[in-house]
Amino acid sequence: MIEFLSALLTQGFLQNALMAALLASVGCGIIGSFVVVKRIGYLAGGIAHTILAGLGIAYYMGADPRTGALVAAIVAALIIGGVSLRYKQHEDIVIGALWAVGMATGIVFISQTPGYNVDLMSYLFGNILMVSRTDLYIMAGLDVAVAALVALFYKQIVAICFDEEFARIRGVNVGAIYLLLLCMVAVTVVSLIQVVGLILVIALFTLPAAIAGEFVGSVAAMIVVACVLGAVFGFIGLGVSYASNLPSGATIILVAGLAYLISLAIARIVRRKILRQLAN
Amino acid sequence: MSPVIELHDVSFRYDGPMILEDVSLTVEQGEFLGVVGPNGGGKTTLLKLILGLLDPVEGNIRVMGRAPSEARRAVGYVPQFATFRRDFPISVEETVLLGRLGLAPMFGGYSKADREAARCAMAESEGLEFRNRSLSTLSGGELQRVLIARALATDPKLLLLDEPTANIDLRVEKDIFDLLKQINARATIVVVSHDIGFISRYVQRVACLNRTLICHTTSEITGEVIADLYGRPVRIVRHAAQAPGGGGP
Repeated sequence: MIEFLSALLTQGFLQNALMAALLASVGCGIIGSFVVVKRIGYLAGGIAHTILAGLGIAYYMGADPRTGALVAAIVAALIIGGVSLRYKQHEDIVIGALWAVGMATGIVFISQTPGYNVDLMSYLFGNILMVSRTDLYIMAGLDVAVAALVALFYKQIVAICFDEEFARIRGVNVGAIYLLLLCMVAVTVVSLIQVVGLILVIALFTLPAAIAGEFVGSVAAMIVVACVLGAVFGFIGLGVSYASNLPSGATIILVAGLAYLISLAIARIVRRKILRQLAN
Repeated sequence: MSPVIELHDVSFRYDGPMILEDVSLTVEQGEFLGVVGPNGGGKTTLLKLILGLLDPVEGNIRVMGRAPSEARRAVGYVPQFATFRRDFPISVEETVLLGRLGLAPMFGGYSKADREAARCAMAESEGLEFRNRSLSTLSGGELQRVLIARALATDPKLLLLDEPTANIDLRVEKDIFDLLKQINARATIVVVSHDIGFISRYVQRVACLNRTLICHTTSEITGEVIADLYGRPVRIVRHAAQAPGGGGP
């Protein structure tokens, strides 16, 4: 770990990587908390995987893959959100179809791109050590945008996550807030592709927020704790991957997964203690 | 002044058979109406129609002289437990504040007036002492008080309650109906219940709903009326005025 810290002081690419991990934890903490309490992990997964279609098409046409990813993510969010609002009973089939068809489309287009030289693995599993300054600025901008939107509409988003029917009666535009939430999921996923890739991103969404959810009493507290946890996992994961020469995205996810298991055990002990105190 | 609720020949179905058929009902200002009937008789559906969450297949509904979806901001609604997850990370106070949506500022947090209204609602429903607790730690009776407080925070002219005492013991049930009686001084109340014997001591009129609707004043409720409603004879257990421990019909 000391090696990692000293390298951090001298190596620009490592500084960028750490910055990326920290910026990623902010978006993940905010949006991941809503994904967890609203239980839309599967929807978020569908949106994330459909992005490969946008990446592939953009590559084939010689456009900026980031733009392609963003367009695909927003389109996927609107389709999945629309189906989920109107035809709830078909939701999982549509998500499953979009998930697989999106990835297949991406792979077909990438395979047909002249002078095939795209590193598919880095999209699927991330490549945090290749993060550029521009990537960092984009991530920071998206974090600010997501945080601002959530601050503006926090009441309404919590209301539709907690009790959609009551929110509707109180005059909240449930459909619009739900689509806003899914679009924020989409944008956050796009900003995270570089860090952990579109397959692993779901773990970074759900694990820190799920750990936080075991111990806090409000969504706001969940967001703060999830952001801090995400940053810690990013830091440790990056350090371990540097010291042991392991793939960084996967290492970060393994750290988060391990922490989740430990937190479940701790939460169980805490609950048992509380029950015992109540019994006495 | 127009009635608070007017239903004219309302019929409703999802995809299958009719759930409500030719239901007509007028509820006047200040009334305390009980709606009883067997499970699947359309009680919750009736409330959802009045709230404008569902649209009737036939007939029309006016609430305070307006379309239900326009009037519902002045309607307080206490749903059955099942509409949300008990383990959601939310405090009692934040839950009650949700009743201020539509009145609170559109952007950002709640105003001081919203917090004050929520505090009053919690005090009235005797939930103030657990305002900082999380929802998952409440007992059935405590949760019911929180849901009533959430409905009261909207400052409703009409209060709709769906089985407010389905999962709680008889002593708390009495407390809750006493509270409703007190609220009735300023708001019209419609309460859905399966417990006809109990509510007939509180409400002025009972609407018996089993696809079709028949209204009775509470003095008319006899074993025969109940048997007609449920389609079979029902054993009636009279509730002694104060003694807990009696069973429902």
